[in-house]
Amino acid sequence: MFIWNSCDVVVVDVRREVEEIVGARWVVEGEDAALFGFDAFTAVKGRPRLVALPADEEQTVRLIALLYRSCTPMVFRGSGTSLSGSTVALTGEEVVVSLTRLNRVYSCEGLEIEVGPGLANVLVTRHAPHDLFYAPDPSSYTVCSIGGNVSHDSGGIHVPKYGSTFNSVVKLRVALCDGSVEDVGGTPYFNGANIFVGSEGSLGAVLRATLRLHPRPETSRTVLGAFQDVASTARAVSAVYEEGVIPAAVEMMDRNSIDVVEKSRYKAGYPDCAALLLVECDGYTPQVEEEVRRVRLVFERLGGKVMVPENPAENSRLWLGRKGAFPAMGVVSPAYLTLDSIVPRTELASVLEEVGRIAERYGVMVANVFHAADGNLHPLIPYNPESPKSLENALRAGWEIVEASMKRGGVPSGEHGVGIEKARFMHQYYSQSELEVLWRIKRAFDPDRLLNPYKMLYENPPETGDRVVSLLYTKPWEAE
Amino acid sequence: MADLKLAQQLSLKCVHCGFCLEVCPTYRATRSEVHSPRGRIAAVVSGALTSSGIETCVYCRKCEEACPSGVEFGEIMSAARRPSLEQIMVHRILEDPLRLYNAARLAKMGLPLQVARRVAQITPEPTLPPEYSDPDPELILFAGCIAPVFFTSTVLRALGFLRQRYRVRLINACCGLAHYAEGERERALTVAQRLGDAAQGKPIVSLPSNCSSHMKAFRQLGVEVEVYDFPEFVELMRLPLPKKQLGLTVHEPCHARLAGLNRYVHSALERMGVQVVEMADPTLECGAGGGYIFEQPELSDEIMEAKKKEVAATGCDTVVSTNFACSLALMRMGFTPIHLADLL
Amino acid sequence: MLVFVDWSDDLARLVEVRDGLNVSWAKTEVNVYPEDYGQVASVLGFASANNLSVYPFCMGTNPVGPTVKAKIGLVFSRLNSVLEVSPENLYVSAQSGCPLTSLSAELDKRGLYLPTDYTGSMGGWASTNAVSAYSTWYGMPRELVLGAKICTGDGVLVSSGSKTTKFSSGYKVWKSLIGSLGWLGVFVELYCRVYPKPEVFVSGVGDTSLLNTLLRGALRPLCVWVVFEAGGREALGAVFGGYASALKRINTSLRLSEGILKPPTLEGNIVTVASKKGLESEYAKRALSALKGDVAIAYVGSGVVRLSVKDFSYVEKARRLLGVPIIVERGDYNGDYWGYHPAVLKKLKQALDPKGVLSPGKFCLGHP
Ligand SMILES: Cc1cc2nc3c(=O)[nH]c(=O)nc-3n(C[C@H](O)[C@H](O)[C@H](O)COP(=O)(O)OP(=O)(O)OC[C@H]3O[C@@H](n4cnc5c(N)ncnc54)[C@H](O)[C@@H]3O)c2cc1C
Ligand code: SF4
Ligand code: SF4
Repeated sequence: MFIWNSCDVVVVDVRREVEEIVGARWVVEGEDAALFGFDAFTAVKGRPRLVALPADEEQTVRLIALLYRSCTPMVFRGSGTSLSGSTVALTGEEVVVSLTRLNRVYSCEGLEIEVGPGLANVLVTRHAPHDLFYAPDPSSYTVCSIGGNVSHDSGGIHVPKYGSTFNSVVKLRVALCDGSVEDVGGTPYFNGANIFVGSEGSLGAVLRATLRLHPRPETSRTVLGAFQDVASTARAVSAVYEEGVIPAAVEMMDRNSIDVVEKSRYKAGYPDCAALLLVECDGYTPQVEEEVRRVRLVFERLGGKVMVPENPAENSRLWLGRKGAFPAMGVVSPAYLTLDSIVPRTELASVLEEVGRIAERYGVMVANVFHAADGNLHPLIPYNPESPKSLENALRAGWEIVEASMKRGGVPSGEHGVGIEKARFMHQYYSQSELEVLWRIKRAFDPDRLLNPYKMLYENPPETGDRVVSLLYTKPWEAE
Repeated sequence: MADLKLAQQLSLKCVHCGFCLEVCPTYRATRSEVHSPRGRIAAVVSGALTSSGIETCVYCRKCEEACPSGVEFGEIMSAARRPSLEQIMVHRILEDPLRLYNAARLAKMGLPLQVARRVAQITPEPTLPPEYSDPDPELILFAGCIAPVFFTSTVLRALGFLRQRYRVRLINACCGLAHYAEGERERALTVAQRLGDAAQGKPIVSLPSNCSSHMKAFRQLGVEVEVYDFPEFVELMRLPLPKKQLGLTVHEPCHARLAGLNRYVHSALERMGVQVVEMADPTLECGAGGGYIFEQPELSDEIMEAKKKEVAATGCDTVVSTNFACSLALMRMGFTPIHLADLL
Repeated sequence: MLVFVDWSDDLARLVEVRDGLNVSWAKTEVNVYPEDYGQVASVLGFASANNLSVYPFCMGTNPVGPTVKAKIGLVFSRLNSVLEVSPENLYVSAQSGCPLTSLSAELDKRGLYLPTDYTGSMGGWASTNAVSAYSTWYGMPRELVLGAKICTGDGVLVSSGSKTTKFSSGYKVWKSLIGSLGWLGVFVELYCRVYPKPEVFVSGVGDTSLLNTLLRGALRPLCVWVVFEAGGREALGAVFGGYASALKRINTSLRLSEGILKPPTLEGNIVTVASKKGLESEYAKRALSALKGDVAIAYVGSGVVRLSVKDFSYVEKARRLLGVPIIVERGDYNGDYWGYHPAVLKKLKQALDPKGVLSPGKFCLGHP
C-alpha cells in the first residue's frame, strides 16, 4: 500500500525507547497485547504491536512525540467500552497508548472539576462537592473513562435536560502529534476544545478535562408508562414536551428488551406491555410535581397504564433494569451489535415500524431500548460469534436500520461514535466535498495519518484479511 | 485440557462490556487489561494461559458480582489455572497447621527463599496450633489453617464461648479454597471430602469467613456439610453477647460478601452496642487473597495501599475482620484487626 | 485601479455587488448580497482563488474585536428566513441572516422560545457565541446550536451536525465556528434547540449574599447576574420560569415581580473576561478593580464576565494579574485584542480557510 508521510527521524528501536519512557512494567507485548486489542464492539478484534501505559502527562506527551517521529500508528485507549470499535488495533501495526493511569482529580472550584482522562465517569460526581453532580451518564458510567466520553461525545440517560458530554466540557488539555501540549477552551469566542469532542482520538490525546458540574436536583421523580402499542408510546414522547415538560430523561423499552431484562439479574418487574416509557422529572419540587402530574395525564390520554414507584428501592430497580439492558443481552446471546442512529422524535413511530420489518426480513430478534427523547435508537441485535453467517446477517440488519434513520432526517451515530462500525456510512452521510473538508481537519492535526487510523475517516479499506473487516469497510454502493 | 475447554466454554458469555474493570483490585492497582477480569477472560479464550494476569488474579470474585451477563469468573479461573510447584507446596503446607507452624518458624529463622522472606515479613510469631475436643462433641469449631498458628487467642476465645453451651470439637484444617482458586481442583475436592468425613455430619461453625463461604459451596463439589459462619451462628442462635463500648470499622471479606455473611457481623456488633464507623467501601479488597499475599508481593502491596487509605479515612485503628488472611493484610497496613470472637 | 475593476466585475457575475462599508467596525471596498447558499459559496470560492479578503456580517449590531479591513463585505441580510419550526422536536431552522426578533416572533406563535436576549442576526449570535442572562441555565450558542450548514473560506458548503439533540458522526465543524467571528468559516443556515415557553416568568432582585443559594440550591433559576459598579454598588438579579402553580410557591428573600428583568446594557468600551464557571462574581470584582472599569456584569454560571471600561490601559496588567483570558470586545485598542492564540485554532484556520481570506486580522494577527 502506498503511504506518504513526512517522518524525518528514523527511530531504530521503538520498543526500547517506549520502555525508557514508561518503564518495563508498563509495556505490554506479545500475546498479552491482544488483551488491549478489542473493546465492547464484539465483531472485530485486533492485536496491537505494543501497549504502553504512561503514568502521567509528561510521559504521555513524550510517548506520542516518539511514536509520531518514528511513523508508528497509535490508538489512544480509555476503558475500552467503545461500542463502535474505536479502540481496535486493526492492522496490528498500532501501538496502543492506554490513558487509564492518568486518573487524578486535580481541582474542584465553583462549578468546575478538573480531572485526568483515565478517571471513570462515576468517580467525577464522587469527587464533586455533595451539592453538585456531573450530569452525563452513559449506561457504562461505572467504568467508561472521561477521555472516552469526550472522544465519543457520549450521551446517556440525562441528555434531554443536561446535554451530552459536549455541553459539560469546559476546557481540555490536549497533546498534539508534534509533542506540544495546549490548554484549549474555557475562552469566550474562539474555543479550541470544541473540535476535540467527538474526535475519537484522531486529532490528539486528551490529557486533562475541566468539566462542568450541575446543582443536584431537589427532587427527582419517575413515571413509568406502559403502552399496548409502539406507535402510541412513540407519540407520548413528543406529547410530554408539548405539555411544557422538560424531562431529565425519557427512555423507551420494547417488548423484546423488557423480556431480556426480566430474564437477567436486572429483573425489574416491568408490566406486561408492547413498550414502556420511563420518564424522570427533576428539579425544584413544586415544578417537578406539576411535571409529573402532566406526564401522567399524557400517558393516560394515550391509553398508557401509569406506574409511579412508591419507594427509592423500587425506583432504582426500575432504572437498573434500563441501565442493565445492554449487558443483560448476555443472557440471550454471547454477542450482540448495538447501533445508535438517531431520528427526529416525530419519526420514532415510523422508524420503529421499519426496524420491525427489517428484523423480520433478517430473521433476527431486535431488542429496542433507547433514549427516546433524543430519538436515539439502540437496536440490540444478537448474533452467534461462532458463526460468520450470523454476524454478517446482524451487520446487514443493523445497516438497514441506520439507513432507515438517515432517510428520515437522522444521523448515523448519536453517541457511540463512528469508529469502525459506521465508517462506511461516512461516505453516505457526507458528500465527497464535505468529506474532503473533514480530511483537511484531520491532516492539519495529523499530517501523517498515524492517529487512530481507519477510524471514522478512511480512504482505502485496511488490508487485514479479516472478512468482517472487509465487510464493514465496503462502501454502501459497492455492496451487492 | 478438559478444564481449559470448560473455562473457554464459560468465557463465551462475556460480551466485553468492561463493567467488571473498576471493581477488580488488580485492575485498580495497575489500570491494565492484563490484570483485569475482561483481559483474563480474553487470555483464557485465546488459550494464552502464560499471560501474567492469570497469576495475578486475587480470586476475590468481585468481577462476578459486577458482571451483568452472569459470567462465572471464579469457575473460569479455577478451571483455567495451572498451579505452579510453589503454589502446590504452599497448598500442602496449608493443609496441615502443624506443617504451617514449622514452615513459619523456618521462615522466621531466615530461610533464603523469596516466599519465606515474605512470610517472615507479614506474619506474627507462630504458635503451636491448639487441640481440643469435648467428649461426644455435638458441634465442630473449624479454625482453618492460618488462625490456629497466628491467631491462637482468637481460636481459644471462640472455643471458650461456644463451650459455654455446646460440646465442641476443634478442627484445624484447610477448606481447599486456595487449591480451588489456584487450579488444583482435584485436590480441592479431596480436601473437601476429608473435611466432610471429619465432620461426621455434625454442624460446623467456621471461624474464617471466606472458608465458610467456600464450604457452603461444597455441595457443588458433591460434598454435604452443614456450615455456619461464626457470626452467622451467633446471630441465628441469638447467643447472648456482652455489651461493648467501642468504636471501630468493619472490613467485609470478599467471599463472605458473596455468600451474604457480612450482615451477621453487623447485626452482632449492633447487639453489642458497638459504634461502627463505615468505610466508604468496606468491600474494597485487602490484598491478601489465599496465598496471594505471599506469592504476589508487589501487587498485593499496591492493593493494600488503596485499602489502607480507605481504612485510614474512618479514623479507626481497630478493624473487625472475620477472615484471617485479611487480618494479616490489615496488620501489615498498621491496623489492629480483631475477629468478632475476640470481643467475647 | 484596473485590478479593482477587474475582480469586482467578475464578482458581479456571481452575486449582486454594491458599495462597500466605511464604519468604525469594518471597512470594505464592495459589499455583496447573496440570495442563496450557492452564491455564498461562489463568492468565497472566488475570493480564495483571487486572494481577496472577505468580511462576513449581517446587521452590524454586535461587532466584536478589532476593526476589519477587507476587499469584500459578505452581507447575509437577504438570507433571512425562518425555515422550519418544530414544536414536537423542539428545534428551529433558520438562515443565518434571520434577525432574532423575527425568529422570536415566529417561535412565540407556537409557544416556544430561544433563551437569549441577543438582538442581531442568527449568524451573528452564533458567531459571537453571545452570552446572555439566560446562559445561567441554558448555556450559550455553543450549547444551543445543534447543527448548521456552513461554508468554508474557500467556498465548500458543509452540513455539519443536525437537527437532532446529539451528534457523534464526524468532526464538529459547526461547533468550531461558534464564537469564531467568521474567521474560520461562515454560517449559512442554523438548527437550534428551542424550549417550550414557561407558563410564567418571575424576576427577582436582591442582595448578592443570596448568590450561592441561587446557583447551587433547589430553585434552579434560568438567569442569575450580578452587577458591580465602580463606586462599590452591587445588585443581583434573577429570573425564574415554570408553571404558575410552582412559581407561586417560591420561597426566597428576593423581591419578586412577574415578568422578565434584564441586566443593564453595556455602552462604550467593553471587555470580556473568562471566569471559572460559578465564580463569575469573584472574577467580576477582581476584573473591575484590575481594569479600573465602570461597570461589570457577572453572567453567573456562564463563565463570562463583561465590563465597560474608560480605556484599555490596564488590559495587559489585568491579564497578568487574573491569569485568565481577557478580551477587548469593543473599542479601539492598539494591543492584542485576544491574549490567547492556541495552535489548535491556527490548524483549524489552515483546514477551513486555507487561503486566509476570512476576516483578516480579526484573530491571530499576522496569519496569512
Ligand atoms: C454496556 C454499555 C453501555 C453503554 N452505554 C452508553 C450510553 O448510554 N451512552 C453512550 O454514549 N455510550 C454508551 N456506551 C459506549 C461507551 O461506554 C462510551 O462510548 C464511552 O464514552 C467510552 O469510554 P471508554 O473510556 O471506554 O473509551 P474507549 O472505548 O477506550 O475509547 C473510545 C474512543 O475514545 C478515544 N479515547 C479514549 N481516551 C482518549 C483520550 N484520553 N484522548 C484521546 N482519545 C481518547 C479512543 O481512541 C476511542 O476512539 C456503552 C457501552 C457499553 C459497553
Ligand atoms: S477475582 Fe478479583 S482479582 Fe480476579 S479478576 Fe475478579 S475481581 Fe479481579
Ligand atoms: S462484566 Fe462480564 S461480560 Fe462484561 S467484560 Fe466483565 S466478564 Fe465480560
